Amino acid sequence: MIDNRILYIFSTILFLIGIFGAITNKNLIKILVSISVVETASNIFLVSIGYIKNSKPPILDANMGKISVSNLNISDPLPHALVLTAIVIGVGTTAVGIGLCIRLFQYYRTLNINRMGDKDEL
Amino acid sequence: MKETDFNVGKFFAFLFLFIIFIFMLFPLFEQGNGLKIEKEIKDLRNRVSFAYSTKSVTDITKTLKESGDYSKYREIYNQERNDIRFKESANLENGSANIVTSIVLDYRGFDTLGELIVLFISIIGLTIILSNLNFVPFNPPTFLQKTGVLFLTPFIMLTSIYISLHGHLTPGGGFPAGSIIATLSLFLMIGYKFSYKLKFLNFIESTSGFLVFFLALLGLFITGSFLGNYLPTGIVGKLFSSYLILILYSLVSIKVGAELSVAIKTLYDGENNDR
Repeated sequence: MIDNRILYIFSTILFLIGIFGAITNKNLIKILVSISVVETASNIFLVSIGYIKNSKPPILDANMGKISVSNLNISDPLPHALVLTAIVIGVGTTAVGIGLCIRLFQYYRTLNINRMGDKDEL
Repeated sequence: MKETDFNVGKFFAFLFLFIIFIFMLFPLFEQGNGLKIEKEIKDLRNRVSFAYSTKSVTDITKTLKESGDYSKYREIYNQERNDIRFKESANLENGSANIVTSIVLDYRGFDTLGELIVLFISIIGLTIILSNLNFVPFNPPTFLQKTGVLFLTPFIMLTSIYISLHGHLTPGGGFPAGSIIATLSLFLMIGYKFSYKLKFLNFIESTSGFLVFFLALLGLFITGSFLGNYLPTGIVGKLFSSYLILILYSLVSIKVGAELSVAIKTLYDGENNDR
């Protein structure tokens, strides 16, 4: 059962937009951008799991005052920590992908994946 | 291949994804047969993070191990505990006011260590892929770019230091501060014509990475668990409170900043232009 329906539908649509871009685009850079859109969609879904209705962010500050055990009013901090990991790994994979794009462009002189592979005809 | 108005491939891709969309809407309407959580107590008490957010992980695991019956966790969760008060509670098992930081660097610190290793390996891969590549140099920066960079650099430097030191009090921490430091190094390359040596960056990165591992290993010898908290935790909410998290997050920010600066420098003017 899904608690947060609006964010679930939103992240689903964003996920599918990313996959559509990755399937239909011919440009390698555009495919990389689509893959990072998919990544963002899954991050939004993970964060929405941790949300509890009418809750505050899990940071103790002067406005909140105290975290009382009998009346906990903060959202779940565990998905936030997982998303932090996922974002950093996404940066690493995107960097490697851009490096591969530069290499391929230098070799084939094009970024269109349909024109790669037949180098002699160029 | 000639582009037509009606693209068959795009149409079928859209149809395929629409069918997947309808399937992905099913979890919204089904109730399931498994264990159900009562709607009245839909709060953190039903989740694992209850122990993290009340900073009572060692307490709860100790009582669970002593009783030997792990199904009684609900009773232990419902016990009375002291409140955590801002700038009053002292000497808790973890002194970080930001609970996400306490999970990232203390309870699940091993995860963050693996994250650092993944980032390190990806930057190694980037430098290997781009080695022996001759770059066409970029155009020299215009007057507007130079002035903007000169104006913005001190503020960015201040922000990165603030974020890396306040990782246990406010949102942010080592990784955002590291990426801001990488932006700063790009700005220095554009505006001040300041060129780093890759050897220098590698030295900073390896030193801070070694120190992170060393501090984590010290926990194994002092407290008996890897990344255990062996420094005093202090009062929750003060700047100098949870010393181990403060030191580790500043080291992580330096390491991530150096790594991403290596990536930016490699993408900006290649490995061969190491002046």
